[in-house]
Amino acid sequence: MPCCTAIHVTTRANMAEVDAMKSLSSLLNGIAQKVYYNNSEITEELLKSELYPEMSPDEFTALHDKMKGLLKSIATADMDHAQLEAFLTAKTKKQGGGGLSAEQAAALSRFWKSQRVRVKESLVAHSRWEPSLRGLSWRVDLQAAASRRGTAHSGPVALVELELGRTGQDSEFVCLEFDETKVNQVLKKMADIQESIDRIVHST
Amino acid sequence: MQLHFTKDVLPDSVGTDFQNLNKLNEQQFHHLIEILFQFLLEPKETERFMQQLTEFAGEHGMSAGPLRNLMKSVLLVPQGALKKNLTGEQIKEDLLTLGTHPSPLCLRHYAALTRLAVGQTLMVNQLVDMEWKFGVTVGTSEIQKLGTVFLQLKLVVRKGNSTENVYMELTLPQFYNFLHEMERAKASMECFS
Repeated sequence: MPCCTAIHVTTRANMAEVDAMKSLSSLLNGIAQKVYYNNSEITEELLKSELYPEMSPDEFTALHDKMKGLLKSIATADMDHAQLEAFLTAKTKKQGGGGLSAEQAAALSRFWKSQRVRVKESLVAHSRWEPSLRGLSWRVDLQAAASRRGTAHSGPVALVELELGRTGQDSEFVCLEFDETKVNQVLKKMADIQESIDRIVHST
Repeated sequence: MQLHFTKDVLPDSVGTDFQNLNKLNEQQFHHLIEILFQFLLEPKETERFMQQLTEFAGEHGMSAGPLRNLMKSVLLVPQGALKKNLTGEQIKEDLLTLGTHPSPLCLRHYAALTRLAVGQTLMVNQLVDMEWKFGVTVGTSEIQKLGTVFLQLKLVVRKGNSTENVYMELTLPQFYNFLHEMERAKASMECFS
């Protein structure tokens, strides 16, 4: 009966759309993994074979590069919702190769809504060029008598271990020894830093 | 006195403290050792350690002050032993030299402690100076608009005969965490001085 056939055809078409959306969402996630989340296991070949096995290599490369470029634009500008909608609408209105289909725009929009914070965090982390303080542990040791080195250490000594590391690299550990005088000096400097922070950051 | 855990000359009070340990009965001794090793496993918990000692003193009709001083002497042994990687045998010898009976409980606890201590850095350096600067990153080549505060620290560290600069960059939360931990370390040192 014509009615049922029509519904059947529409359902099939919808399923194909859903599949296309899923593949595109997975492609966007894969690109993010590779470009922003340092996942070295994801390659362009892997993405093609998993998500678009039927597509010709040239066609896939074009799709991949287009999505990657769009993601980069969105991430660099750290677009909010309004900016993103304006950006995507402009792209869908464009004809030819630079344009986007409505489904592609929807996939990008959904992706950015869920991944914006994480992508931004990754970009911020990459802008830190010095090692960051990943961890800190300490203990206080007691000394029984003056140390033979001549520095009078006849009191408690704090041993502080700093864990330092750059993004993607292994940690380096630095262990420092502080007597009470030194700890007070460091705390005094930190109080100066705090004062500076309060003056500049909270007044803007 | 020839001791493994330290090359320093111990004041007489330390010897007396170890003798006083012998005055405790077995149950009291075991309880005190448990308190001691709990602290050694979690060295930041100074307040808890002091609290437990005060409670112990109350329970057994002792004064808290002398007990704390006694524990400070007792702490020298495991702390020194860990730094020098002493064996159970060497600790046994030291405890005998100090005039106290080496209990199997102590040695078992110490063995557990050394297993945790393996892999800890033993190269300890002195902090000579600390310099800092901070600013706000407003943009980078990767992201156009940003507003993150970063603090750069340069620690001048003495390693042997030379100094070395150690650089690090902290976010504000990391700085406040660092400050908090240094304040805790200071509070802990005050408990012990």
